[in-house]
Amino acid sequence: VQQSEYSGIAETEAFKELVRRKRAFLIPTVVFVLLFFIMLPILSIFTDVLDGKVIGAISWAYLYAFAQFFLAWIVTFLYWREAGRFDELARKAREQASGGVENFA
Amino acid sequence: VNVTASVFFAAIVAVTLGITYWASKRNTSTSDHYVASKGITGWQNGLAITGDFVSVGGFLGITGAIALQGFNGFYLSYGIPIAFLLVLLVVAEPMRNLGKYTVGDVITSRFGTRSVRAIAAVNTLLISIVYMISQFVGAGALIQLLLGINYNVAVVVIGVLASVYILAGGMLATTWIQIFKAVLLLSGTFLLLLLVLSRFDFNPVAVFDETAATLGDGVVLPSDYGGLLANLDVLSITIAVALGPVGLPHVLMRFLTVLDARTARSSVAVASVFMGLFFILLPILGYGAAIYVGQAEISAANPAGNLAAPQLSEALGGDLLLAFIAAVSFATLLAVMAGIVIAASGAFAHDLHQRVVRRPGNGPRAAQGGPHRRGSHLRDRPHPGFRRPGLQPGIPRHSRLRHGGERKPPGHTADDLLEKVQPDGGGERYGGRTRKLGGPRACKPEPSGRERDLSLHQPGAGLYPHRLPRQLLRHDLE
Repeated sequence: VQQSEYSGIAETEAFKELVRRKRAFLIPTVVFVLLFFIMLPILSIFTDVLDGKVIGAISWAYLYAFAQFFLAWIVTFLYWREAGRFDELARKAREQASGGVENFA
Repeated sequence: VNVTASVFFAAIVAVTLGITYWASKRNTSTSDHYVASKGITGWQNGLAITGDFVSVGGFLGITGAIALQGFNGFYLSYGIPIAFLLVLLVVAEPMRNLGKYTVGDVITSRFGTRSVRAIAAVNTLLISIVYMISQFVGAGALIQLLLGINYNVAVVVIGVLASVYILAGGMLATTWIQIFKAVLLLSGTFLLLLLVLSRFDFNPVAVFDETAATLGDGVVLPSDYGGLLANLDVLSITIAVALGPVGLPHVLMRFLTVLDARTARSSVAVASVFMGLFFILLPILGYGAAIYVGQAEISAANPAGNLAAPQLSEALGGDLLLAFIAAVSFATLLAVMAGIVIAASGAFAHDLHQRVVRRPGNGPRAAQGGPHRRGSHLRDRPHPGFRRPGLQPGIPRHSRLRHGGERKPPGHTADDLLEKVQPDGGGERYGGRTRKLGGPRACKPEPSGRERDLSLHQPGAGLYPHRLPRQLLRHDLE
């Protein structure tokens, strides 16, 4: 994208929708992931709530730690799916921009 | 001298040099050297990122920490998937869209001053040096242990090898060495894992049960580290493990080697699967080492437990497996070293030497090597948001007529010619230079931070800015 095209793209509905949806997805996700992560060291270091054994000798602390890996995989998958829609909106934004005002391409 | 180990080590060196020779024939331009001309695919890059991450610190260090401290050693591991999630969500695609060769390029494309680039480059160098020292120490110790070569000699030999990889093969060699090593290390880990699990009828829970039965519940439960300060220390390391990788230069550079944001995204997805599998399975190796080697022997060989994995391989598979695992660790050290060296060399040569010391010009234009002219009609538009107090409203309009209307190709405008005459750029960005030149642009306000935002999109960049430049948007709708 060249700068001259950028102003055109930034005006399009698709671009505004793209920015809005990216934020709506990314901000809550990142906040949730960070909170989910930080609770593990806090709980395991400063409290005893994760000390119980659940499956055989595997403790709550280990289960919580393993859950972080599964969280990462699940969110990666969700983002992957969502990003396909972002790409689609980005493509639309380009189209709308080139169909509209001046185009120096 | 361990003959089997020597043969394996020699084979590793031979393969890496072979990859370097192959890559050297394709390593002809600057872009080839730093970013493999953006020709790396998602799968390749994903494996290379895995390789960057699954370092000796991870393989030897965490296995040993779990063997000796149980769950308390796992805190080095559970931040890694979160780190990768943050890389995927926050930095991978913008890195790809904004950067050319280095982290400095990315930051300069948003904040176009020389000092920002210098700070980014110095940061890259500092991080790389610290990281490199730990790799040198690990490699030296490993070679001394297995081949009986003097520690100092070993460090020099590894330094020379890493330099050869980078000088001859550039980023392409680094990437393929990293892929080679990632596959080796993942298969070595998998093999060890199977050997441990085969003794427990392939029931992972039984590994935990057996460890708790022989070594006490303390090794499977989290425990206090002893005092508030020690606890806060561990908390801080945990946070560093999760947030630190988001800024590691040699990892960030990997996103500059792919074609587009989509490939950058898929490479993180590939990496997160392999890396997650690797790190989630480390407790089994660690507990296996605690059971079959014994905590006393592990800490006798190395107080931090860094040799637990090789010791486990010796206990389960004899000399041959030990030599293989040691050689894989050696390949890991070499590959990670190569990645760090190329990130550091980019920061030094491309950022510090080319753009800061020699300073052919400043700002995003210098960073992108080019066509700032295309954006000048945006920058020059009068807008309340851009005007500084005391400037005559409307004056920038002259420059719009002049620059917005003409659209000269880059490299042929008066400023570009002037820049060739005055290679130091003649002062702080456009303001200083144009004042020397005189003429209509002399009254142009110095660009504010907001203005620079508009010039972030160079050709080939993606569509996503970090935030929408609202000033521009509102103005354009007027």
